[in-house]
Amino acid sequence: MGEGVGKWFEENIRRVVGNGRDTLFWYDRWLGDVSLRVKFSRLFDLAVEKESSVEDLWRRG
Amino acid sequence: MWRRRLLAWEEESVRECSVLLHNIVWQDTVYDSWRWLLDPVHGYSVRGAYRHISSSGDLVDRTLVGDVWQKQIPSKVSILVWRLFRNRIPSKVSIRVISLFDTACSAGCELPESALHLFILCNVAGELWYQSTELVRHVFCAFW
Repeated sequence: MGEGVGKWFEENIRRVVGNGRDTLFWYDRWLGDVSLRVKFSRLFDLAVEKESSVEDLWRRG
Repeated sequence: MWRRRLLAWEEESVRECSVLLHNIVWQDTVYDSWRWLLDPVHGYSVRGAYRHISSSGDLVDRTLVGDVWQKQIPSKVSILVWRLFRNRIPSKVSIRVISLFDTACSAGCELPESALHLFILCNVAGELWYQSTELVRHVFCAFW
């Protein structure tokens, strides 16, 4: 897809978290307007498991 | 969880992140889902997306293609005109970007075959355009 096409679509979808099993903690946009990977980029760099779900991290506290 | 021990300011980031997480309500019986921000109630629709794209203006040059998408115009015509105005007609000059063809006009006049050439400048193609309107006129005269 062209850049312009991808943008309007991505900018208008958000993940709504219920049990957190099917949402990626760092990559998906579910908390605020940007992904946590962007908002807390230093922590993302330091995280060992970057593909954890929201639930994974919830359980771990 | 972390690749190394966190520095003080990194710990501060973790706290900031935790504060955000505290406000989230965990619902074990509810699946994660998508929300379409342009219409959170009814969800995504092609109609809504089309309206959004065609009114946002930055993606489509309205001065060029604004009138092309009318219901009365056959879609093949709309698409051809849209491609023409955006220089997406597969003329030899356009195709050259992705292949090794020469660019000489297919009608045989040896000039580079750009969209401008095909539709406006080429004498051979121009004659064809003219003949085709003549043909249409003859057909209509025969019927009416």
